[in-house]
Parts: sequence; structure tokens; C-alpha cells
Amino acid sequence: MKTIKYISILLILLSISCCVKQQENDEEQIKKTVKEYWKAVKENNLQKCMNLIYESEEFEGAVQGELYFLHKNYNKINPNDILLKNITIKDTTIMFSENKQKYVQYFIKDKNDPNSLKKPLIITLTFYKPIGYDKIYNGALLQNHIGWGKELKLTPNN
Amino acid sequence: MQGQELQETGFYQYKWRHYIPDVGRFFTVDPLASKYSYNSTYAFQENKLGLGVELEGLELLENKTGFFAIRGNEMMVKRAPLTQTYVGTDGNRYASFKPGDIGLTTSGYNPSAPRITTGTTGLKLESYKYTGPTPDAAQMQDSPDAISNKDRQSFTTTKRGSEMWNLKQRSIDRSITGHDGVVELFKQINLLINIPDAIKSTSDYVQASKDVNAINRQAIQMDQAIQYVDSSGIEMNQQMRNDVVNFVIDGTLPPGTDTQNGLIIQNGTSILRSNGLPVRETEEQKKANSKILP
Repeated sequence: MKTIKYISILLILLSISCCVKQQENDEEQIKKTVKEYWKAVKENNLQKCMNLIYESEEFEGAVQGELYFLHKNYNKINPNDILLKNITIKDTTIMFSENKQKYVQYFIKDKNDPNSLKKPLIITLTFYKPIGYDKIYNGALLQNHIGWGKELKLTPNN
Repeated sequence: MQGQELQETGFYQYKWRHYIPDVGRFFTVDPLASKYSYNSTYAFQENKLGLGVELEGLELLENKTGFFAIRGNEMMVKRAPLTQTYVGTDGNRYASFKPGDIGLTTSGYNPSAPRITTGTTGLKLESYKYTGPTPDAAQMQDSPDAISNKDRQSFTTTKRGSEMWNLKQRSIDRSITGHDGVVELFKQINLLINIPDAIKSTSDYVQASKDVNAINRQAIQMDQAIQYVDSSGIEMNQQMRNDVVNFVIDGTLPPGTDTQNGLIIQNGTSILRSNGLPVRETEEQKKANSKILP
């Protein structure tokens, strides 16, 4: 009886450690994908970006547009690859565990805009387990990017 | 007023006629008056309010056809029945997406419904070709379907809400059976039966998530196309702006447009180029270029 007890405790511990290890593996994979994406942006490598985004062949133009923006403003958005350090992965809050997604999100303030008249640039990379953590799930990564980084022109109407 | 703009004159400007809201009539004679001799020539929406929308001052539109277009700062359904639109707080009429358009119903996700990811329904990028949601698309209901007895008694049911009932039924069955050996065997059988169901329901969730992701992506991209055009600084009237937005989204042009060097293409192409977006040749341009080459 005692041996059965010990074996069962051992099994439980093993399964817990397996779960923790799985989670670690998932996070490692996501971090790897995020780093690869930023590398592709730095190199202005469209094909690499396309491979990293899920079903990107359906909206190649949009991927190209976002890459153009990110590459052009790379030094403003990611000076010295600062975004690659301390990547924080968060879980989405969804009722059903089957639809839980993970995401990495950056808020970047415009330096030309000290009074915060414009909305910050938001970059979101979403990951969804059923399609694999080696692909970025959401197609539109950028928010508020149109006009971001440009000189603010105030007209009497604004 | 059905998505039309109130002018300074106090009239609503439809494409073909002006509408006077105080009188509830049009200002001028119906251009199609000879075709619809049974109608008053000044009547709004053929005097059949509630049956549809007024189509640009011409006639009542009640058939279920519609396509997405850009008007003002909003995306809306043009030529769409009232059931596909709703009145916003500003009094304008906007497109509404029913959960049914992507296969969701109150009784759960319906994987066999027409879906946006398969291109059978919903928001589409080819704005001029879209003919509206398909008539057999799943619709959002006020009350869930009552679960039939057949579903309740079936162990392999996929109907939401009936699983618990089946479990209760099983526990009753178990208490009747009473023998330990039989119960154990029964449990095993249940497990075996339920595995395919569990797998199926997981794939439904994944498919639903993909549908939502696709609709979200397309809506954001349409929104971005509007912003690209608005931030370009090119002076355009409302109609031209809408056409350019549609051109920027997916290269569609209104029927009968000059595909070689029209103003829509000129403006659209310059907006695309300045934002690093790819510009593709139209079919006509490809043909023209191939003629020049030996």
C-alpha cells in the first residue's frame, strides 16, 4: 500500500513538472517567434515576415505595408533592440479555455509629441496554440500607426 | 435618415433627388416615374415605410442584396434591407453584423453555417462584388432552440445544454443497473463514445476563433484603408474618396471606370506608393503591356 502511495505521489509530481516544463517551452517558442519577427523587420525581409504570420498569403499587401512602416521607423520604435529584452507574454481573458490566446504587446509613445496629443503606437502580436506558437495569429499588428512619428501640424481646425 | 446627409437647406440629398423631411415627400419628380406608373411621383420609398430603404431617390429596395461601401467615416451596407442595418446614435444607418454571419447562434457555434473564412458570407474585401449575406446563413435568435427528446436521449448529441440531461439520465440508469461491474463497464463505454465528441467540439472552438480573427483583421484593414486615404492630404469629393478607399482596399473600381488612367487609379496608386503598399497591374494594363513587348 505504501509503495502505491509513493508511486502515485511521484506520478503527480512528475505530471506537475511536465506541465510547468510545457509552459516554459511555449513561452520560449513565443519569444523565439517575436525575436524572429523583429529580426525580419530589421532586415526588411518580406518573405520571412510572411512565413511568420498565419495565412499571410491572403493579405500580402497589408503585411508589406506594416513591414514598410516598421522598417522605416525601426530606430524610433526599437532603438538598440530594446523591445527584445524582457518580452512579457500575457494571456487573453476569454471564458473558454479552448480559445485562450497569448499575446505580446508594446505601447510606443511618439517622441515628437511630448504633450501626448496623438495616441501611442500599439503593436500586438497574438499567438494561438492550435495553429502553433511559431506563427503570429493576428493579421493586423499595428494600431494608430498612420501619422505616427510624423511632425505634428496643428491647423486652426484641430 | 437612412444614412443620407442632412444638407444646410434642410433637405436630405439622395443621389437622384432631394427629400424634404418636413413634408415627408421628395422635392422633384421620380426619374423612374414612367416605369412605376402606379406610384405617386413624389412619394418617399414608394410610400411603403418599414419594408425596406429608399435607394438613392429612385425606388424602394426590399430585396436581400447589399454590398459594403465607404460613406463618410463609416463602413456601411449600400443597397441592403433594413434587417441588415441599424440606426446609430447620430441618426445614421450603419451595417450590423449578426453573430449568425460567422456561424454563431444562441445555441452554440454552428460549424456548418456559411462562414467568413470560407468566403461564403460576411464582410468581404471585394467591396463591389459582394452581394450580401447568404439567405440561408444562421441567424441570431431571441430564444434558444428547444432541445428535442431525440437529442436528449442520444448519448452522442452535440446539442449544447442536453449533455447535462444525458448525464442525469445516465446516473439514473446507473442506479437502476446497480451492479458494480456493469457500472465500471458502462463508464468505460461512455468515455469511448464521448472522445470523438470532445475532439469535434474543440475543433469547433478553433474554427470559431479563426472566423472571429478573420472578421477582425478585415475590419481593421478596411479602417486602415480609410485612414490612409484621409491622411493623404489629396483633395477629393465624397464620392471620389469612397471610390479611392475601395480601390486601396482591394483594387476594385466602380463599373465602367477608365482602367488605364482614371483619377481614382491615380490618387489610389499614389496613396499606396507613399505608404509602401504594393501596386498591382490591372488585367487591362497587363494586356496592354504585353502588347507592347515583342
